[in-house]
Amino acid sequence: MSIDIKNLCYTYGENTLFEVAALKDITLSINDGEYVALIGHTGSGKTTLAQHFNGLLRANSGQIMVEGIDLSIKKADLMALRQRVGLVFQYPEYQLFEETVFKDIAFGPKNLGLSKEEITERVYSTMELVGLDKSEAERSPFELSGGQKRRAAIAGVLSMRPKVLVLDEPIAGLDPQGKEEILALIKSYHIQYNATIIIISHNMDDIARVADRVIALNQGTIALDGTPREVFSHYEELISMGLGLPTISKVVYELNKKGKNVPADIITSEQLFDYILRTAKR
Amino acid sequence: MSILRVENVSYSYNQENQPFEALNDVSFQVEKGAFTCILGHNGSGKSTLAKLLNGLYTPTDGKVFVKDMDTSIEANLLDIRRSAGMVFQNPDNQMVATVVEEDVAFGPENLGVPSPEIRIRVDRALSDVGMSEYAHSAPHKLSGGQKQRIAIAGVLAMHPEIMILDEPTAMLDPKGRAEVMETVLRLNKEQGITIIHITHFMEEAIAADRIIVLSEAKIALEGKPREVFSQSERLKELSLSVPEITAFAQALNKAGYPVAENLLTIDELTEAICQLI
Repeated sequence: MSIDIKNLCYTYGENTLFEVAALKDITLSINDGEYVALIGHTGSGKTTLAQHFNGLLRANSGQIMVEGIDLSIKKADLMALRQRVGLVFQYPEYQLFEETVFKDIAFGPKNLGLSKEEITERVYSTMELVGLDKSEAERSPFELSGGQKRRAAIAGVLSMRPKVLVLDEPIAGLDPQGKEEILALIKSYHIQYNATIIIISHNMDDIARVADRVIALNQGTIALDGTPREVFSHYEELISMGLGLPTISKVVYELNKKGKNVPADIITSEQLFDYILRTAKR
Repeated sequence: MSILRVENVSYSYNQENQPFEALNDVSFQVEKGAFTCILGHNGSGKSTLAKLLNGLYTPTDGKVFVKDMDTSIEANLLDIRRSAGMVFQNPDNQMVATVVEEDVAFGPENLGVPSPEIRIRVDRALSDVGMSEYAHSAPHKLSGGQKQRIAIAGVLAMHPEIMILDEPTAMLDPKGRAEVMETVLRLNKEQGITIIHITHFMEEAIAADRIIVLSEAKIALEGKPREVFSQSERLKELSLSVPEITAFAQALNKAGYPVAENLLTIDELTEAICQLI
Protein backbone atom coordinates (compact mmCIF):
# COMPACT_ATOMS: atom_id res chain seq x y z
CA MET A 1 0.00 0.00 0.00
CA SER A 2 1.38 3.36 -1.02
CA ILE A 3 -1.01 5.66 0.82
CA ASP A 4 -3.55 4.75 3.46
CA ILE A 5 -5.77 7.43 4.94
CA LYS A 6 -8.49 6.94 7.56
CA ASN A 7 -10.95 9.65 8.66
CA LEU A 8 -8.59 12.50 7.87
CA CYS A 9 -9.81 16.00 8.75
CA TYR A 10 -8.06 19.26 8.08
CA THR A 11 -9.23 22.74 8.99
CA TYR A 12 -7.50 25.95 8.01
CA GLY A 13 -7.23 28.49 10.85
CA GLU A 14 -8.59 26.08 13.47
CA ASN A 15 -10.03 27.85 16.52
CA THR A 16 -9.94 31.25 14.82
CA LEU A 17 -12.63 33.39 13.25
CA PHE A 18 -11.42 32.30 9.83
CA GLU A 19 -11.86 28.57 10.41
CA VAL A 20 -12.54 26.69 7.17
CA ALA A 21 -12.95 22.92 7.08
CA ALA A 22 -11.02 21.97 3.92
CA LEU A 23 -11.07 18.18 4.28
CA LYS A 24 -13.82 16.31 6.11
CA ASP A 25 -13.42 12.69 7.11
CA ILE A 26 -11.43 11.46 4.13
CA THR A 27 -10.82 7.70 3.94
CA LEU A 28 -8.76 6.53 1.01
CA SER A 29 -6.22 3.88 -0.03
CA ILE A 30 -3.89 4.16 -2.99
CA ASN A 31 -1.94 1.10 -4.13
CA ASP A 32 1.69 0.96 -5.20
CA GLY A 33 2.06 1.92 -8.82
CA GLU A 34 -1.46 3.31 -9.29
CA TYR A 35 -1.98 6.32 -11.58
CA VAL A 36 -4.59 8.44 -9.85
CA ALA A 37 -6.19 11.70 -10.98
CA LEU A 38 -7.64 14.05 -8.36
CA ILE A 39 -10.38 16.27 -9.74
CA GLY A 40 -12.57 18.92 -8.12
CA HIS A 41 -13.43 22.58 -8.62
CA THR A 42 -11.36 25.36 -7.11
CA GLY A 43 -11.63 25.12 -3.34
CA SER A 44 -12.77 21.49 -3.27
CA GLY A 45 -9.72 20.41 -1.24
CA LYS A 46 -7.52 18.80 -3.95
CA THR A 47 -4.38 20.77 -3.23
CA THR A 48 -4.92 20.55 0.53
CA LEU A 49 -5.13 16.78 0.26
CA ALA A 50 -2.04 16.61 -1.98
CA GLN A 51 -0.06 18.60 0.57
CA HIS A 52 -0.79 15.94 3.19
CA PHE A 53 0.94 13.27 1.09
CA ASN A 54 4.39 14.69 1.81
CA GLY A 55 3.67 16.16 5.21
CA LEU A 56 3.52 19.82 4.16
CA LEU A 57 0.20 19.92 5.94
CA ARG A 58 -0.54 17.75 8.97
CA ALA A 59 -4.03 16.41 9.64
CA ASN A 60 -6.03 17.76 12.58
CA SER A 61 -7.38 14.27 13.14
CA GLY A 62 -7.40 10.83 11.55
CA GLN A 63 -4.66 8.50 10.39
CA ILE A 64 -2.37 8.83 7.43
CA MET A 65 0.31 6.35 6.35
CA VAL A 66 2.46 7.20 3.34
CA GLU A 67 5.09 4.76 2.03
CA GLY A 68 5.26 3.08 5.41
CA ILE A 69 5.66 6.30 7.38
CA ASP A 70 2.97 7.03 9.96
CA LEU A 71 2.20 10.73 9.68
CA SER A 72 -0.29 10.60 12.55
CA ILE A 73 2.74 10.66 14.84
CA LYS A 74 3.96 14.19 15.52
CA LYS A 75 7.63 13.23 15.24
CA ALA A 76 7.24 11.38 11.93
CA ASP A 77 10.44 11.27 9.88
CA LEU A 78 9.60 13.98 7.34
CA MET A 79 13.07 13.85 5.84
CA ALA A 80 12.60 10.18 4.89
CA LEU A 81 9.06 10.91 3.72
CA ARG A 82 10.13 13.64 1.34
CA GLN A 83 12.70 11.37 -0.26
CA ARG A 84 9.90 8.97 -1.06
CA VAL A 85 7.24 11.48 -2.05
CA GLY A 86 8.03 14.13 -4.65
CA LEU A 87 5.66 17.08 -4.96
CA VAL A 88 5.57 19.14 -8.15
CA PHE A 89 3.76 22.39 -7.49
CA GLN A 90 1.74 24.46 -9.97
CA TYR A 91 3.98 26.39 -12.35
CA PRO A 92 7.11 24.64 -10.96
CA GLU A 93 9.38 26.60 -13.32
CA TYR A 94 8.99 29.57 -10.98
CA GLN A 95 11.05 27.57 -8.50
CA LEU A 96 14.10 27.09 -10.71
CA PHE A 97 16.89 28.91 -8.95
CA GLU A 98 20.36 27.57 -9.78
CA GLU A 99 22.90 28.95 -12.25
CA THR A 100 22.74 25.93 -14.52
CA VAL A 101 20.23 23.24 -15.39
CA PHE A 102 22.70 20.64 -14.07
CA LYS A 103 23.00 22.31 -10.65
CA ASP A 104 19.24 22.75 -10.39
CA ILE A 105 18.55 19.06 -11.02
CA ALA A 106 21.49 18.03 -8.78
CA PHE A 107 20.18 20.00 -5.79
CA GLY A 108 17.99 17.20 -4.43
CA PRO A 109 20.44 14.27 -4.89
CA LYS A 110 23.20 16.42 -3.36
CA ASN A 111 21.12 16.82 -0.21
CA LEU A 112 20.66 13.06 -0.12
CA GLY A 113 24.43 12.77 0.39
CA LEU A 114 25.11 10.87 -2.86
CA SER A 115 28.65 10.71 -4.27
CA LYS A 116 29.71 13.04 -7.07
CA GLU A 117 29.60 10.24 -9.66
CA GLU A 118 26.18 9.12 -8.53
CA ILE A 119 24.89 12.68 -8.71
CA THR A 120 26.22 13.15 -12.23
CA GLU A 121 24.66 9.86 -13.30
CA ARG A 122 21.32 10.84 -11.75
CA VAL A 123 21.26 14.25 -13.36
CA TYR A 124 21.99 12.96 -16.86
CA SER A 125 19.64 10.00 -16.65
CA THR A 126 16.89 12.29 -15.39
CA MET A 127 17.52 14.78 -18.17
CA GLU A 128 17.16 11.96 -20.66
CA LEU A 129 13.95 10.84 -19.00
CA VAL A 130 12.34 14.28 -19.31
CA GLY A 131 13.67 14.80 -22.83
CA LEU A 132 16.28 17.48 -22.18
CA ASP A 133 19.39 17.18 -24.31
CA LYS A 134 22.71 16.74 -22.49
CA SER A 135 23.92 19.94 -24.14
CA GLU A 136 21.40 21.94 -22.09
CA ALA A 137 23.09 20.95 -18.81
CA GLU A 138 25.39 23.95 -18.58
CA ARG A 139 22.80 26.51 -19.73
CA SER A 140 21.00 28.77 -17.32
CA PRO A 141 17.52 27.36 -16.66
CA PHE A 142 16.15 30.84 -17.33
CA GLU A 143 17.27 30.67 -20.96
CA LEU A 144 15.15 27.61 -21.69
CA SER A 145 11.80 27.75 -23.49
CA GLY A 146 8.56 27.53 -21.49
CA GLY A 147 8.10 23.79 -22.03
CA GLN A 148 11.78 23.05 -21.34
CA LYS A 149 11.70 25.04 -18.10
CA ARG A 150 8.73 23.01 -16.93
CA ARG A 151 10.58 19.77 -17.76
CA ALA A 152 13.76 20.94 -15.99
CA ALA A 153 11.74 21.78 -12.88
CA ILE A 154 10.06 18.38 -12.88
CA ALA A 155 13.48 16.76 -13.40
CA GLY A 156 14.59 18.39 -10.14
CA VAL A 157 11.93 16.34 -8.34
CA LEU A 158 12.43 13.13 -10.35
CA SER A 159 16.16 13.13 -9.62
CA MET A 160 15.22 12.16 -6.06
CA ARG A 161 13.59 9.02 -7.56
CA PRO A 162 10.42 9.37 -5.45
CA LYS A 163 8.21 6.30 -5.07
CA VAL A 164 5.20 8.61 -5.11
CA LEU A 165 5.01 11.52 -7.52
CA VAL A 166 2.37 14.15 -6.80
CA LEU A 167 1.79 16.76 -9.51
CA ASP A 168 -0.47 19.79 -9.07
CA GLU A 169 -1.70 20.99 -12.50
CA PRO A 170 1.48 19.96 -14.32
CA ILE A 171 0.15 20.87 -17.78
CA ALA A 172 -1.48 24.24 -17.02
CA GLY A 173 -0.38 27.04 -19.33
CA LEU A 174 1.40 24.83 -21.88
CA ASP A 175 0.73 24.59 -25.61
CA PRO A 176 -0.71 21.28 -26.88
CA GLN A 177 2.69 19.83 -27.75
CA GLY A 178 4.24 20.89 -24.43
CA LYS A 179 1.31 19.25 -22.70
CA GLU A 180 1.83 15.96 -24.54
CA GLU A 181 5.54 15.99 -23.65
CA ILE A 182 4.83 16.40 -19.94
CA LEU A 183 2.18 13.66 -19.95
CA ALA A 184 4.60 11.34 -21.77
CA LEU A 185 7.41 11.91 -19.28
CA ILE A 186 5.06 11.26 -16.35
CA LYS A 187 4.01 8.03 -18.04
CA SER A 188 7.59 6.87 -18.57
CA TYR A 189 8.56 7.64 -14.97
CA HIS A 190 5.43 5.75 -13.86
CA ILE A 191 6.46 2.70 -15.89
CA GLN A 192 10.24 2.74 -15.39
CA TYR A 193 10.12 3.13 -11.61
CA ASN A 194 6.70 1.56 -10.95
CA ALA A 195 5.97 4.86 -9.20
CA THR A 196 2.61 5.85 -7.78
CA ILE A 197 1.34 8.90 -9.66
CA ILE A 198 -1.16 11.37 -8.25
CA ILE A 199 -2.05 14.10 -10.70
CA ILE A 200 -4.30 17.09 -10.11
CA SER A 201 -5.75 18.42 -13.33
CA HIS A 202 -8.77 20.17 -14.79
CA ASN A 203 -8.15 18.67 -18.18
CA MET A 204 -10.71 15.88 -18.33
CA ASP A 205 -9.86 14.79 -21.89
CA ASP A 206 -6.32 13.96 -20.76
CA ILE A 207 -7.40 12.34 -17.50
CA ALA A 208 -9.76 10.08 -19.42
CA ARG A 209 -6.78 8.85 -21.46
CA VAL A 210 -4.03 8.52 -18.87
CA ALA A 211 -5.37 7.71 -15.40
CA ASP A 212 -6.20 4.28 -13.94
CA ARG A 213 -8.41 5.84 -11.32
CA VAL A 214 -10.23 9.14 -10.78
CA ILE A 215 -11.13 10.59 -7.38
CA ALA A 216 -13.54 13.53 -7.41
CA LEU A 217 -13.48 15.81 -4.38
CA ASN A 218 -16.39 18.06 -3.57
CA GLN A 219 -16.53 20.40 -0.58
CA GLY A 220 -13.81 18.53 1.26
CA THR A 221 -15.21 15.04 0.83
CA ILE A 222 -14.76 12.25 -1.72
CA ALA A 223 -17.78 12.40 -4.01
CA LEU A 224 -16.77 9.80 -6.60
CA ASP A 225 -13.96 7.23 -6.78
CA GLY A 226 -13.42 4.68 -9.55
CA THR A 227 -12.00 4.05 -13.00
CA PRO A 228 -12.28 7.00 -15.40
CA ARG A 229 -15.09 5.17 -17.21
CA GLU A 230 -17.04 4.71 -13.98
CA VAL A 231 -16.52 8.24 -12.68
CA PHE A 232 -17.21 10.08 -15.93
CA SER A 233 -20.45 8.10 -16.40
CA HIS A 234 -21.87 10.23 -13.57
CA TYR A 235 -22.52 13.06 -15.98
CA GLU A 236 -25.12 15.10 -14.14
CA GLU A 237 -23.48 14.62 -10.75
CA LEU A 238 -20.17 15.99 -12.05
CA ILE A 239 -21.89 18.96 -13.68
CA SER A 240 -23.65 19.76 -10.41
CA MET A 241 -20.25 19.77 -8.69
CA GLY A 242 -19.10 22.44 -11.13
CA LEU A 243 -16.76 20.03 -12.90
CA GLY A 244 -16.02 19.56 -16.55
CA LEU A 245 -16.32 16.31 -18.47
CA PRO A 246 -14.32 14.76 -21.28
CA THR A 247 -15.48 16.14 -24.64
CA ILE A 248 -16.47 12.66 -25.78
CA SER A 249 -18.66 12.16 -22.68
CA LYS A 250 -20.51 15.31 -23.70
CA VAL A 251 -21.05 13.96 -27.20
CA VAL A 252 -22.34 10.65 -25.79
CA TYR A 253 -24.69 12.53 -23.48
CA GLU A 254 -26.10 14.53 -26.40
CA LEU A 255 -26.46 11.38 -28.52
CA ASN A 256 -28.47 9.72 -25.77
CA LYS A 257 -30.63 12.83 -25.39
CA LYS A 258 -31.52 12.34 -29.04
CA GLY A 259 -32.73 8.85 -28.28
CA LYS A 260 -29.60 6.85 -29.12
CA ASN A 261 -28.47 4.20 -26.71
CA VAL A 262 -24.74 4.74 -26.36
CA PRO A 263 -23.09 3.36 -23.20
CA ALA A 264 -22.38 6.27 -20.81
CA ASP A 265 -18.95 4.87 -19.98
CA ILE A 266 -17.59 5.77 -23.41
CA ILE A 267 -15.27 8.66 -22.55
CA THR A 268 -12.41 8.75 -25.09
CA SER A 269 -12.20 9.18 -28.86
CA GLU A 270 -10.86 5.63 -29.27
CA GLN A 271 -13.77 4.13 -27.37
CA LEU A 272 -16.37 6.10 -29.32
CA PHE A 273 -14.64 5.29 -32.58
CA ASP A 274 -14.76 1.56 -31.77
CA TYR A 275 -18.41 1.85 -30.86
CA ILE A 276 -19.29 3.54 -34.15
CA LEU A 277 -17.24 0.97 -36.04
CA ARG A 278 -19.26 -1.82 -34.44
CA THR A 279 -22.73 -0.26 -34.69
CA ALA A 280 -22.72 1.95 -37.79
CA LYS A 281 -25.20 1.06 -40.49
CA ARG A 282 -23.07 0.55 -43.53
CA MET B 1 -12.98 49.93 -40.86
CA SER B 2 -9.81 48.68 -39.23
CA ILE B 3 -9.61 49.56 -35.57
CA LEU B 4 -6.16 48.01 -35.17
CA ARG B 5 -3.36 47.99 -37.71
CA VAL B 6 -0.10 46.13 -37.25
CA GLU B 7 2.32 47.07 -40.01
CA ASN B 8 5.59 45.18 -40.53
CA VAL B 9 6.18 44.94 -36.81
CA SER B 10 9.34 43.41 -35.37
CA TYR B 11 10.25 43.32 -31.72
CA SER B 12 13.52 42.24 -30.08
CA TYR B 13 14.33 41.68 -26.44
CA ASN B 14 17.82 42.33 -25.26
CA GLN B 15 19.08 39.20 -23.54
CA GLU B 16 22.57 39.58 -22.15
CA ASN B 17 23.43 41.86 -25.06
CA GLN B 18 22.13 39.26 -27.50
CA PRO B 19 18.99 40.49 -29.19
CA PHE B 20 16.22 37.90 -29.21
CA GLU B 21 13.67 38.45 -31.92
CA ALA B 22 10.20 37.76 -30.51
CA LEU B 23 8.33 39.10 -33.56
CA ASN B 24 9.61 39.40 -37.09
CA ASP B 25 7.81 41.49 -39.71
CA VAL B 26 4.25 40.78 -38.60
CA SER B 27 1.36 42.57 -40.33
CA PHE B 28 -2.40 42.28 -39.94
CA GLN B 29 -5.49 44.39 -39.41
CA VAL B 30 -8.46 43.92 -37.12
CA GLU B 31 -11.94 45.14 -38.03
CA LYS B 32 -14.06 46.96 -35.51
CA GLY B 33 -16.27 44.54 -33.54
CA ALA B 34 -14.36 41.43 -34.64
CA PHE B 35 -13.44 38.55 -32.34
CA THR B 36 -9.88 37.52 -33.15
CA CYS B 37 -8.12 34.60 -31.51
CA ILE B 38 -4.35 34.37 -31.42
CA LEU B 39 -2.86 30.88 -31.08
CA GLY B 40 0.75 29.79 -30.99
CA HIS B 41 3.16 27.55 -29.10
CA ASN B 42 4.91 28.72 -25.90
CA GLY B 43 7.45 31.32 -26.93
CA SER B 44 5.86 32.04 -30.32
CA GLY B 45 5.49 35.75 -29.59
CA LYS B 46 1.81 35.90 -28.55
CA SER B 47 2.26 37.83 -25.31
CA THR B 48 4.77 40.17 -26.92
CA LEU B 49 2.19 40.93 -29.59
CA ALA B 50 -0.47 41.59 -26.94
CA LYS B 51 1.76 44.11 -25.22
CA LEU B 52 2.46 45.86 -28.52
CA LEU B 53 -1.25 46.27 -29.20
CA ASN B 54 -1.86 48.79 -26.45
CA GLY B 55 1.50 50.48 -26.35
CA LEU B 56 2.99 48.67 -23.35
CA TYR B 57 5.81 47.88 -25.80
CA THR B 58 6.68 49.89 -28.87
CA PRO B 59 7.90 48.06 -31.98
CA THR B 60 11.64 47.81 -32.67
CA ASP B 61 10.61 48.14 -36.31
CA GLY B 62 7.28 48.88 -37.97
CA LYS B 63 4.18 50.56 -36.59
CA VAL B 64 1.09 49.70 -34.57
CA PHE B 65 -1.97 51.90 -34.93
CA VAL B 66 -4.88 51.82 -32.49
CA LYS B 67 -7.78 53.77 -34.00
CA ASP B 68 -5.23 55.43 -36.29
CA MET B 69 -3.10 56.50 -33.30
CA ASP B 70 0.57 55.53 -33.57
CA THR B 71 1.65 53.66 -30.40
CA SER B 72 5.22 54.91 -30.74
CA ILE B 73 4.13 58.49 -30.07
CA GLU B 74 4.17 59.07 -26.32
CA ALA B 75 1.42 61.71 -26.45
CA ASN B 76 -1.03 59.09 -27.82
CA LEU B 77 -0.53 56.57 -25.04
CA LEU B 78 -3.23 57.72 -22.64
CA ASP B 79 -5.85 57.67 -25.40
CA ILE B 80 -4.58 54.33 -26.69
CA ARG B 81 -4.81 52.65 -23.28
CA ARG B 82 -8.25 54.14 -22.75
CA SER B 83 -9.31 52.57 -26.07
CA ALA B 84 -7.57 49.22 -25.66
CA GLY B 85 -7.81 47.56 -22.25
CA MET B 86 -5.86 44.49 -21.22
CA VAL B 87 -6.62 41.44 -19.10
CA PHE B 88 -3.74 39.19 -18.05
CA GLN B 89 -3.33 35.53 -17.14
CA ASN B 90 -2.99 35.61 -13.38
CA PRO B 91 -6.07 37.08 -11.69
CA ASP B 92 -4.20 37.58 -8.41
CA ASN B 93 -1.70 39.96 -9.97
CA GLN B 94 -4.39 42.27 -11.28
CA MET B 95 -6.24 43.18 -8.10
CA VAL B 96 -5.29 46.54 -6.63
CA ALA B 97 -8.00 47.20 -4.04
CA THR B 98 -9.46 45.36 -1.06
CA VAL B 99 -13.09 45.78 -2.14
CA VAL B 100 -14.40 44.66 -5.54
CA GLU B 101 -16.10 47.94 -6.50
CA GLU B 102 -13.01 49.96 -5.59
CA ASP B 103 -10.95 47.69 -7.78
CA VAL B 104 -13.27 48.28 -10.71
CA ALA B 105 -13.22 52.05 -10.03
CA PHE B 106 -9.41 52.20 -10.16
CA GLY B 107 -9.21 52.62 -13.95
CA PRO B 108 -11.81 55.37 -14.43
CA GLU B 109 -10.44 57.21 -11.36
CA ASN B 110 -7.07 57.37 -13.03
CA LEU B 111 -8.67 58.66 -16.20
CA GLY B 112 -10.09 61.57 -14.17
CA VAL B 113 -13.73 60.55 -14.64
CA PRO B 114 -16.01 62.57 -12.28
CA SER B 115 -17.22 60.65 -9.18
CA PRO B 116 -20.94 60.39 -10.02
CA GLU B 117 -20.02 59.06 -13.44
CA ILE B 118 -17.62 56.53 -11.87
CA ARG B 119 -20.46 55.20 -9.73
CA ILE B 120 -22.56 54.63 -12.85
CA ARG B 121 -19.72 53.03 -14.78
CA VAL B 122 -18.75 50.66 -11.95
CA ASP B 123 -22.32 49.48 -11.41
CA ARG B 124 -22.79 48.95 -15.12
CA ALA B 125 -19.48 47.10 -15.54
CA LEU B 126 -20.20 44.77 -12.61
CA SER B 127 -23.63 44.04 -13.99
CA ASP B 128 -22.17 43.38 -17.46
CA VAL B 129 -19.91 40.65 -16.07
CA GLY B 130 -22.61 39.27 -13.77
CA MET B 131 -20.85 40.24 -10.55
CA SER B 132 -23.14 42.97 -9.12
CA GLU B 133 -23.86 41.04 -5.95
CA TYR B 134 -20.14 40.92 -5.13
CA ALA B 135 -19.60 44.71 -5.29
CA HIS B 136 -18.73 44.88 -1.59
CA SER B 137 -16.81 41.59 -1.35
CA ALA B 138 -13.09 41.19 -0.85
CA PRO B 139 -11.42 40.10 -4.12
CA HIS B 140 -9.28 37.44 -2.42
CA LYS B 141 -12.42 35.56 -1.39
CA LEU B 142 -13.58 35.12 -4.97
CA SER B 143 -12.93 32.14 -7.24
CA GLY B 144 -10.46 32.44 -10.12
CA GLY B 145 -13.24 32.85 -12.69
CA GLN B 146 -14.90 35.54 -10.57
CA LYS B 147 -11.60 37.39 -10.16
CA GLN B 148 -11.04 37.38 -13.90
CA ARG B 149 -14.56 38.75 -14.42
CA ILE B 150 -13.69 41.56 -11.99
CA ALA B 151 -10.53 42.24 -13.98
CA ILE B 152 -12.70 42.43 -17.12
CA ALA B 153 -15.11 44.79 -15.32
CA GLY B 154 -12.15 46.99 -14.39
CA VAL B 155 -11.31 47.30 -18.08
CA LEU B 156 -14.97 47.82 -19.07
CA ALA B 157 -15.32 50.73 -16.65
CA MET B 158 -12.83 52.60 -18.81
CA HIS B 159 -15.22 52.23 -21.77
CA PRO B 160 -12.72 50.60 -24.11
CA GLU B 161 -13.48 49.78 -27.73
CA ILE B 162 -10.92 47.00 -27.77
CA MET B 163 -10.21 44.36 -25.17
CA ILE B 164 -7.00 42.31 -25.29
CA LEU B 165 -7.02 39.14 -23.19
CA ASP B 166 -3.70 37.35 -22.71
CA GLU B 167 -4.47 33.76 -21.70
CA PRO B 168 -7.19 34.84 -19.25
CA THR B 169 -8.35 31.25 -18.67
CA ALA B 170 -5.01 29.46 -18.27
CA MET B 171 -5.19 29.27 -14.49
CA LEU B 172 -8.91 28.59 -14.12
CA ASP B 173 -10.97 25.44 -13.56
CA PRO B 174 -13.51 24.40 -16.23
CA LYS B 175 -16.33 26.36 -14.59
CA GLY B 176 -14.20 29.50 -14.31
CA ARG B 177 -13.12 29.11 -17.92
CA ALA B 178 -16.71 28.83 -19.10
CA GLU B 179 -17.70 31.93 -17.08
CA VAL B 180 -14.94 34.03 -18.58
CA MET B 181 -15.51 32.85 -22.17
CA GLU B 182 -19.25 33.42 -21.90
CA THR B 183 -18.64 36.96 -20.57
CA VAL B 184 -16.16 37.83 -23.31
CA LEU B 185 -18.42 36.50 -26.08
CA ARG B 186 -21.38 38.42 -24.70
CA LEU B 187 -19.43 41.70 -24.55
CA ASN B 188 -18.41 41.15 -28.15
CA LYS B 189 -21.92 40.37 -29.41
CA GLU B 190 -23.96 42.79 -27.30
CA GLN B 191 -21.65 45.77 -26.98
CA GLY B 192 -19.60 45.31 -30.13
CA ILE B 193 -16.30 45.43 -28.23
CA THR B 194 -13.43 44.30 -30.43
CA ILE B 195 -11.81 41.26 -28.83
CA ILE B 196 -8.26 39.96 -29.16
CA HIS B 197 -8.11 36.68 -27.28
CA ILE B 198 -4.84 34.80 -26.75
CA THR B 199 -5.15 31.20 -25.66
CA HIS B 200 -3.72 27.67 -25.60
CA PHE B 201 -7.16 26.10 -25.54
CA MET B 202 -8.10 25.30 -29.12
CA GLU B 203 -11.76 24.99 -28.10
CA GLU B 204 -11.85 28.67 -27.13
CA ALA B 205 -10.94 29.65 -30.68
CA ILE B 206 -14.00 27.98 -32.20
CA ALA B 207 -16.26 30.98 -31.64
CA ALA B 208 -13.78 33.48 -33.11
CA ASP B 209 -14.37 35.33 -36.39
CA ARG B 210 -10.74 34.83 -37.26
CA ILE B 211 -7.73 32.93 -35.95
CA ILE B 212 -4.15 34.10 -36.29
CA VAL B 213 -1.50 31.45 -35.57
CA LEU B 214 1.95 32.65 -34.59
CA SER B 215 5.06 30.52 -34.83
CA GLU B 216 8.74 31.44 -34.62
CA ALA B 217 7.94 35.16 -34.44
CA LYS B 218 5.83 35.15 -37.63
CA ILE B 219 2.23 34.60 -38.69
CA ALA B 220 2.14 30.96 -39.77
CA LEU B 221 -1.55 30.50 -40.49
CA GLU B 222 -4.61 32.67 -40.61
CA GLY B 223 -8.30 32.29 -41.36
CA LYS B 224 -11.74 31.38 -40.07
CA PRO B 225 -11.82 28.60 -37.41
CA ARG B 226 -13.17 26.08 -39.92
CA GLU B 227 -10.36 26.83 -42.35
CA VAL B 228 -7.59 26.82 -39.76
CA PHE B 229 -8.73 23.69 -37.92
CA SER B 230 -9.14 21.69 -41.11
CA GLN B 231 -5.32 21.80 -41.38
CA SER B 232 -4.53 19.38 -38.59
CA GLU B 233 -1.14 18.30 -39.97
CA ARG B 234 0.05 21.89 -40.30
CA LEU B 235 -1.14 22.72 -36.78
CA LYS B 236 0.73 19.73 -35.41
CA GLU B 237 3.91 21.01 -37.05
CA LEU B 238 3.28 24.28 -35.22
CA SER B 239 3.09 22.44 -31.84
CA LEU B 240 -0.67 22.98 -31.74
CA SER B 241 -3.62 20.66 -32.17
CA VAL B 242 -7.19 20.73 -33.40
CA PRO B 243 -10.16 20.68 -31.01
CA GLU B 244 -11.09 17.15 -29.82
CA ILE B 245 -14.35 17.35 -31.81
CA THR B 246 -12.62 18.24 -35.06
CA ALA B 247 -9.99 15.52 -34.56
CA PHE B 248 -12.74 12.97 -34.09
CA ALA B 249 -14.64 14.12 -37.18
CA GLN B 250 -11.43 13.86 -39.17
CA ALA B 251 -10.82 10.31 -37.92
CA LEU B 252 -14.33 9.28 -38.98
CA ASN B 253 -13.87 10.93 -42.34
CA LYS B 254 -10.58 9.13 -42.87
CA ALA B 255 -12.22 5.82 -42.06
CA GLY B 256 -14.63 6.43 -44.93
CA TYR B 257 -17.71 7.67 -43.08
CA PRO B 258 -19.65 10.57 -44.62
CA VAL B 259 -18.62 13.09 -41.95
CA ALA B 260 -17.24 16.54 -42.80
CA GLU B 261 -13.65 17.14 -41.68
CA ASN B 262 -14.28 20.63 -40.39
CA LEU B 263 -16.84 20.07 -37.64
CA LEU B 264 -16.24 22.30 -34.63
CA THR B 265 -19.01 21.92 -32.08
CA ILE B 266 -20.49 19.12 -29.99
CA ASP B 267 -23.87 19.68 -31.67
CA GLU B 268 -22.42 19.31 -35.15
CA LEU B 269 -20.61 16.09 -34.25
CA THR B 270 -23.67 14.69 -32.45
CA GLU B 271 -25.78 15.40 -35.51
CA ALA B 272 -23.26 13.67 -37.78
CA ILE B 273 -22.98 10.58 -35.59
CA CYS B 274 -26.78 10.34 -35.36
CA GLN B 275 -26.79 9.73 -39.10
CA LEU B 276 -24.33 6.86 -38.70
CA ILE B 277 -25.73 4.79 -35.84
